[in-house]
Amino acid sequence: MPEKILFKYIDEPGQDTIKVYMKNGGYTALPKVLKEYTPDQVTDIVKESGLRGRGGAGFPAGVKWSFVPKDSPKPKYLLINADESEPGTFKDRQLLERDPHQLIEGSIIAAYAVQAHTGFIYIRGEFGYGAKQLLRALSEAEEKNFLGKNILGSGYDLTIHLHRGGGAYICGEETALMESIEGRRGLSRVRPPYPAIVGLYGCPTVINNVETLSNVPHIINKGAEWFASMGTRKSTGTKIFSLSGQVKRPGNYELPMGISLRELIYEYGGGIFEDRELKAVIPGGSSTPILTPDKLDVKLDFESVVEAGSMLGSAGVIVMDETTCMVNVAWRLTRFYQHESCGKCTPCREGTYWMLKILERIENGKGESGDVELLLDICNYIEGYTVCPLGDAAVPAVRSTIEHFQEEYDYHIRNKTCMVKGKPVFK
Amino acid sequence: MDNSKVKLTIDDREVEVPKDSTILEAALSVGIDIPYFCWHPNLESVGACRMCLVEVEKMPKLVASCVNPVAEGMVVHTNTEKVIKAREKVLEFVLTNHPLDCPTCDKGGECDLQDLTYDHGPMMTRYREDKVRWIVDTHYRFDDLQLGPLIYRNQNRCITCFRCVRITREIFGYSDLGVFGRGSKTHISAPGGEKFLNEFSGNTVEYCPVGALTARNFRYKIRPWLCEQTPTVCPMCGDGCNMTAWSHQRKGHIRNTSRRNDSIDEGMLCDRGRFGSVFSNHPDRIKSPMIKEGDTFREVQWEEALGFIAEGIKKIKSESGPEALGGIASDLVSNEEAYLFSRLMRQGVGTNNLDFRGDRKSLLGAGALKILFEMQKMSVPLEKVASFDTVFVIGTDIASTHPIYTMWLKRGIRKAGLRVLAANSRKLDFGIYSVQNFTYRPGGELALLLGLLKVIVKEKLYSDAGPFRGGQFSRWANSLQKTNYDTIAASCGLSEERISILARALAESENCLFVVGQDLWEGPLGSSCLLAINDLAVLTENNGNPRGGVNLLFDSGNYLGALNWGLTPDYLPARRHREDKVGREKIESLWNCRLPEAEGFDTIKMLEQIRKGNIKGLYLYQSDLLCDFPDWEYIHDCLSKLDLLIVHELFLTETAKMATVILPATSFVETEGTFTNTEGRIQRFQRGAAPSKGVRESWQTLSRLAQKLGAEFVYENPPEIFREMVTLSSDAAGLDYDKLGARGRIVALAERVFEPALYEVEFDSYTSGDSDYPYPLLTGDLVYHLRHLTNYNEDMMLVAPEAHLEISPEDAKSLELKEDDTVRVESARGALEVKVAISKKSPPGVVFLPRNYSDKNVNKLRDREKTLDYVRIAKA
Repeated sequence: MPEKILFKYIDEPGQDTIKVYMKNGGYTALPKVLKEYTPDQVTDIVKESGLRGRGGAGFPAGVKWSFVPKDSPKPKYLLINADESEPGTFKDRQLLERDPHQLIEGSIIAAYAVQAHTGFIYIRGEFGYGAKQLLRALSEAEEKNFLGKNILGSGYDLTIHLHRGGGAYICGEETALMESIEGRRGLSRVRPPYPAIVGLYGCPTVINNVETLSNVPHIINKGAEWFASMGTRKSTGTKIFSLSGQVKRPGNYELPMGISLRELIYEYGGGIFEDRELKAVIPGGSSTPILTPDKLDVKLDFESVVEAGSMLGSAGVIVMDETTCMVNVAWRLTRFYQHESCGKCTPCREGTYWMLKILERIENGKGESGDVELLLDICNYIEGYTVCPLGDAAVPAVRSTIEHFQEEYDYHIRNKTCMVKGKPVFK
Repeated sequence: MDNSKVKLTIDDREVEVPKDSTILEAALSVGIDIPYFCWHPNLESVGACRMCLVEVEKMPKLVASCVNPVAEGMVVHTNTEKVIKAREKVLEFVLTNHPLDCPTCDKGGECDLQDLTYDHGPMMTRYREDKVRWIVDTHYRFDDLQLGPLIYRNQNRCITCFRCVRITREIFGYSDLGVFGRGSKTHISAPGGEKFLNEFSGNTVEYCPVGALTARNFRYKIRPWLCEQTPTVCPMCGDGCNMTAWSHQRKGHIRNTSRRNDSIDEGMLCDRGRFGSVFSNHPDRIKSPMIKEGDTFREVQWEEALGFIAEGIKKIKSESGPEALGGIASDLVSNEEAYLFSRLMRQGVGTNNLDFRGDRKSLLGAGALKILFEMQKMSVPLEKVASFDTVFVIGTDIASTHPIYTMWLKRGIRKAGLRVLAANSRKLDFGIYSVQNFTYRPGGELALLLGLLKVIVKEKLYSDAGPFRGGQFSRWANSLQKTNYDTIAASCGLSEERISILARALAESENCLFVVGQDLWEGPLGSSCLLAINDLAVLTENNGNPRGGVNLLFDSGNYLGALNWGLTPDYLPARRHREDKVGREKIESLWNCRLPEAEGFDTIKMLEQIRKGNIKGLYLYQSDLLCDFPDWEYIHDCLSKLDLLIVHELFLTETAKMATVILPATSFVETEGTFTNTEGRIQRFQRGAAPSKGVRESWQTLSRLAQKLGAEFVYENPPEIFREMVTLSSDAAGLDYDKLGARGRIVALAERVFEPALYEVEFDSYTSGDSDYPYPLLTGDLVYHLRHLTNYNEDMMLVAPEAHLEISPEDAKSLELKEDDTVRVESARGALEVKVAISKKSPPGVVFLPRNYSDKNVNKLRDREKTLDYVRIAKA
């Protein structure tokens, strides 16, 4: 097994308590940071480590922190995005339920780096247990003066609040998340201005994913070089892959960046369920295009997956075997995006609804010739035309299934039945 | 403010615009058309509809021009293949779930979606799925939901641009309209089953780009293209918002829409103006002259009525002299009509008994008016209000009396951190925008002002460099010592500490505007209050020279015009004082007559004279004196003593029913002329609907009557009157009727010279109630009503159908009253049974009754001899 960073103690009983966490070397990075480093130095270390955002976009975390204006008279905020809602992704949940202090320590260091004195953890509404764990962990950290006024005598203050979401996928999008914290409908904001300049309550804001921040204490403790030595040159460190679908051993696997898809599925995942044939893989959560078996040797890092025609995204790997109907996949995922579209901008609101209706028809054996072309055309005018990435995210499911499996759509339309199962799957 | 500009290229045109513009604004500023739905110049951009996508070189995607700022050297294309295609697709998306029920949609003909689809849309849709349909009543398959009394929603038509919600919240600060649901279930509704009801609700209908929101008064009434549109000016408050009156040949004046004037309304109207001013087609309009015979009226021909009046006037004149006649007009008549009425009374009848104020217990005399005219030189145009850092509103519930004025204040609060300090005997409420309330006891306004002056002197919060002369200042400052804080605190109910907070805020502000309500300067201590305000402005150096300012608010459409054009006993037209020889001669030579020399009486003195039997004939020109005068018993008694009561009116009002002879008048949509708003801006309104058959325009009636009385009135039309009257004024001279322009003109007042303007203020101590009648009664207009005029408007009577006694939650608790309980309100004068409304605007111990309802006339409780009326309340 390769070296684990985030999951090293994940199975140890009591790791969620501050006692065990500290026994296992927790809260050593924080005093070091507060004593030895200036905020800029922390940012530089993280920059050097090459740590990239684990939320999906893969933006270098240190660079993001350095965008926060230092001379702004306004307060600065740190937001911790724990609204993990991308279908196929379940890594943050485990991190914050089993090892909340790792996240909190990382968050404190990040807040120190950008000199924020207030932080918010925006946790997905459905994560009731996670919220409880975090609340407890926060108060434990406060008791030990890792949070609060004058942390460890350094003169640095930080309060972290927990905010539970109301159950909208869109609130994982950073600007919608801010709207939600501010008490409004979760609608995405227009960028620019970017959050680092005008974010929460109009103030400079840094927003990072749970996994990203959880890496930070380890980078401080073991050095940027150590971190950069793992993974590939551009995608450093390890990554937690959420493996799901028709595999024998689904679950979270922390592996170095750049491991191949084949290794993940066949070595760690134990191969396809009932030893069937692999049909397609969604490599980075439902918003990324599918990969076909010929891409099995793709290395799972940000660059290689893009080269292969998809995205690493949040590394939610969904495996589909030969019994899966791809039209049904497109329909199911589109239903998700249609349901989660916030309704603000026209192409996403109307486009996803339209696509869903067409897919529903095809699934019901009422497809018509021209439907596939129409779907592709709708995709073209959703992607790139919307305010936020939700619209863009709704497109790949439809477009990539058509691209690779158009014969299934045609079969559905021509024969009014499913090619894989021989009968309409839906209803 | 950053005024730097950037240059960019749009469609091969070089454009220079301010740095913080968006691409859309830049394009519109040079007349390049980019289509949009959700953008509105008064709102923050949200980039929701995606209709305004344009191509910008070096940007990978099309960008929404409404949210993307311009940059130096940017190259924008608004008409490329890609952009045209994108518009088509966005429209296709928009139309997928739009019902296309244009034939039965009220917005048809003025619908942005229709227009843009014709311009940019696909000729057909590829959408063949079921549309999302919102059915409100499943039994009748009814799609329209009544959001509030005036507004209906058809969610099927909605394209979710959120303009309505954004207008309501951003511009007006209310949260009674919201967005609910998500994705294709996104819809507009009033939160929590509440009604969508605020004084600006009509704007949401006007700026809805489709027919999703419709207004009660226009739904299924008439097609917009069958109406004639006329530019007009709203007379319903002193702000003078510009409107377009829509009238139909058969149905008459049917609705109003805004007519954007960036100096006043920025395209917004309040509901009182938009809906409430539609009364010209009311069935109660007087359509023919009438003479009283016994208990009934006989319809007569014009000449007979005018002859009857002329005879009557001549008879009284020969028996008792011209002083036995008087005239009272209204503050809603046009400048031209005011001038004409003044001329008719002074020249035709030969009396200076002339007024236009019929709803007050005390009136400013000539001396106080002079101070008022002087203070007007400190006034500030409406569009500048938002740029102050502090605004001190005193003596008015400005949100009810001047709705659009509050729009500017809210803008200032939202955009520039304006601080609004309000001193009034009822609290001000600006919705989500904050107002600091300093609530004084009714009648305590002067005490508060004196307290402020005292604090400023005591804490030396004034500047030595101010325009004071040593001796005079110390004499004035000493006079303040006569009153002590205890008396002040007892009178106004505010502690020295509270007064000090306010005083410091005023003195320490960079730039403070004093907004002074009509209730203050027309109250019992009006002229003293005016002086105190003047002193306060001068002392804190906010006299408008160069910073600060004082805006005196005039609550009705043409109050200032009536004042300017000769409807007070002492001021002849163009503010020429009766005793000003030069002015007098100028008018005499223009009118070719001798003006009456005798001193005239104002309304209150005229009534005294009527009671004494000295005045026998009264001409009421659109003045509903019986309803408006704050002592019903007294006014009823006076009016019934008259030998000749001429009522020249729109409606058969209670007053008209007492008349000897009735003449029909024309409303503001049936004639043309000018109004002067509270800023002093002269604005032109045009003739929209034709008056009903047989009704003569009022200016014609007044002229003809003057001719019958032997005065040479020869006017072809109102513009001619305007041209004549401006020659009398040194301020307005040179104004050209045809060139008043879309924004109107503020008459340039004489140069702002400030004498050491400190006066000695007299202080009258506060009267308090007794155990019999403990509650001071305040009265005034509701935001939906203007005196009794709006009783003739269906919409306003629907929104606010009956009088409610507004009491504080504390009083409601102690009296064990619930909302809508019926109570008996009793004064020494009379009693009324009304319902209760529990209002946070009322401070404890103070009650409010609107003066807008003929059936529950608050004036029946009022006593003209008491500065403040007191009542007791008992559950009925």
